[in-house]
Amino acid sequence: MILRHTGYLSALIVTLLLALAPLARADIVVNVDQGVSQPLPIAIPAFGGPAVGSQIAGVVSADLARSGLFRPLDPSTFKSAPGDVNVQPNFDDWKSISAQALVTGQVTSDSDGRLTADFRLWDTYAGEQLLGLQFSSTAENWRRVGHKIADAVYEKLTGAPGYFDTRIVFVAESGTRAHRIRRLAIMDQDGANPSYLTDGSYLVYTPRFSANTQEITYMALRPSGSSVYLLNIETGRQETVGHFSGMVFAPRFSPDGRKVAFSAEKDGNSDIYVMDLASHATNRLTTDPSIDTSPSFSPDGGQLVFNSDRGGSPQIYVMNADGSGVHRISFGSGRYTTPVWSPDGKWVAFTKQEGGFHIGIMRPDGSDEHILTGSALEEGPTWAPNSRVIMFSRETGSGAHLWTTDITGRIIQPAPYPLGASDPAWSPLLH
Amino acid sequence: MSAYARRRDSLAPALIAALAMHVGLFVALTIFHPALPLPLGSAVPINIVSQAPTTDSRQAEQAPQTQTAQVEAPVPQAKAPTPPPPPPPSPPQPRPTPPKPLKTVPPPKPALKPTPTPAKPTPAPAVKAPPTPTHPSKAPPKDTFDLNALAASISRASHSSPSRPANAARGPTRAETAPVARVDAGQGISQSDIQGLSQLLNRLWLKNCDSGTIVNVTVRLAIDNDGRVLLADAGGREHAGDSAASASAIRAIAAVHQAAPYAEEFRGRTFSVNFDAAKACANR
Repeated sequence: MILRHTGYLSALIVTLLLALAPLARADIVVNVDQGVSQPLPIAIPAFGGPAVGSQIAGVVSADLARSGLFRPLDPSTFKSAPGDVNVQPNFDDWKSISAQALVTGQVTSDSDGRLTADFRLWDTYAGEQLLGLQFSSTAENWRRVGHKIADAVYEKLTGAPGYFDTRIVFVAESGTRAHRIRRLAIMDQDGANPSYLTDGSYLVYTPRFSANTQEITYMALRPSGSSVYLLNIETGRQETVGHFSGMVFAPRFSPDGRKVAFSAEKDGNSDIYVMDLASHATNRLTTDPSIDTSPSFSPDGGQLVFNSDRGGSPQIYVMNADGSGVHRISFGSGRYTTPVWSPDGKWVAFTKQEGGFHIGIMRPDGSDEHILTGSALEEGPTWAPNSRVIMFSRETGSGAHLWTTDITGRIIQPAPYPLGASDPAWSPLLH
Repeated sequence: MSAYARRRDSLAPALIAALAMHVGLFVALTIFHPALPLPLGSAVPINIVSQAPTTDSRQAEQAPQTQTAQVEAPVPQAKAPTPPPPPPPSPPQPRPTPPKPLKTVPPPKPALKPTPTPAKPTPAPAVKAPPTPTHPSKAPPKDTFDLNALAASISRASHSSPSRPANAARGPTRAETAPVARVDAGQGISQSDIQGLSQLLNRLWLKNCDSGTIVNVTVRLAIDNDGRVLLADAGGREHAGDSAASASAIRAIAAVHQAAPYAEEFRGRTFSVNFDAAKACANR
């Protein structure tokens, strides 16, 4: 009897063990939580077709290299030419030189002179195509084709939108300190196609792009006083923004391009105003008996960040677009000036004076402050449209020059404009 | 290793345990109920059942040897049915443009790393069970039963056991004494193997901290018997519309591809790799 029960019990236990055995094989999980912060090695051989194909590939390569996030490989190490853009490359050739990504392309010219560029982005290790796009443009716009390809590659491999098909408007400086010539100038973000927009007969300051990239607003200082201008860079048409008895400075477009915020001085008191460009109606936003200046809209246009010394020293404040709800967001030591809201709304860049002038960023609520640069005199930050890169001017013994930094402060380098320059403003992506 | 063989291996401990229980019960009943009248006809089945597990219960105590066997045995079995190594996964490459002008230039040997041969994960002999010198005990078929051989094997085991514990892993690394089951228990992959692969992937992973959005990625990975990546899948994130997730997945997948060929312990297996970008980017 007992033996029979024991048999049942044993059978039951065996059954249970059989049922539970698979569960004992826990899944293997490997955790990777360090990684390396190195530029991604990428191969960009010359595009097939006419000679411009090689030049376009060069623009793509230079853009990606300058971002600091990519390391274009030396073409002399390539083991094979990619050939037809529609044919899958031999990935082993590219893996053997440690290329993690490969860009191949083909350029053709139409009978009417337009060029068409096809390109493919390949993941060499996974052995698959990541992107395949075609751009068509007039022949003289071949550089923009390269920038657009670079933007697409950048976004696919970093996840952030590209910023290469953009322009920079800035103040080109020349002459001695006593006889400084300040001309409004514009160039592609890679330094190509520089040109002057004003002749240097008067001083210009703080140029800013409109959202549609066709207009620039800036401050002009003449012996007769200061004015804020709107300049259409396509037509060259220029107009003033209202007439004020005192100084007018630091203009900046609203995100929708319909308004301009600026600072105007009246009776020794600077306040912030907003003008509707259609009706020219002006609305005063601040009334505090202190210096309120450098307004910058939030991306949704609902708020402005600005600089005020109402607390005893220049600090950064945020208010609603109608002037209500003013509150201070900077509380660190030192003096904060020139706040600029990032296009993605997540950061405010500023100049901080504390043992020198430095570029920093903080969250719009004042938290998470970082100082990104460490030279003696830096100012005037402007955001790339992807909110990942900041351009600013750095003053050295040889004058002011343009520099860029990423928002980690890891990748700081001179902008590709070798002459004296200050007050940069980055355009949105071109259309 | 085939699915059937894997399942069979996983059931072996359960069968051994069941048989050991039979023996235990039989012995207990014999000792505590000596006067119990046993029907003569039932003696035969009881003897068969009781004698076999006497050996197996010993083996169950020598767990490290058994686990090692699970790893080592299936590998040759799995290799056997695949006589020709499968061709490289890259599909046919038409190469309509055969001339390779760049070939004339002597390709400077890139100093980077021509072949990504991963450093063998740290061997860690203390944790990993040493190669079993007592393999022969597993070799004989079980369909014959020899009491003399059984006794001899028991006596050999008892003689040799004192010298072995010096090298054997103790404490929590042993499944039999650990307070909780090891993750890799019964899988033939030690924690040091996993740690070694983790270190390798940490060196190969170009983390993506620059998109403004930090995305953690889990890659499901299948390794073939030659250590190559059969499948690396981030749950479709690599092809997702979310560009930050896609970029992060692409980089994670690139890292696992570069780690090939995988060490022997990982061959023929499927496992997951968690790329913790939140932690990695916070630490940079």
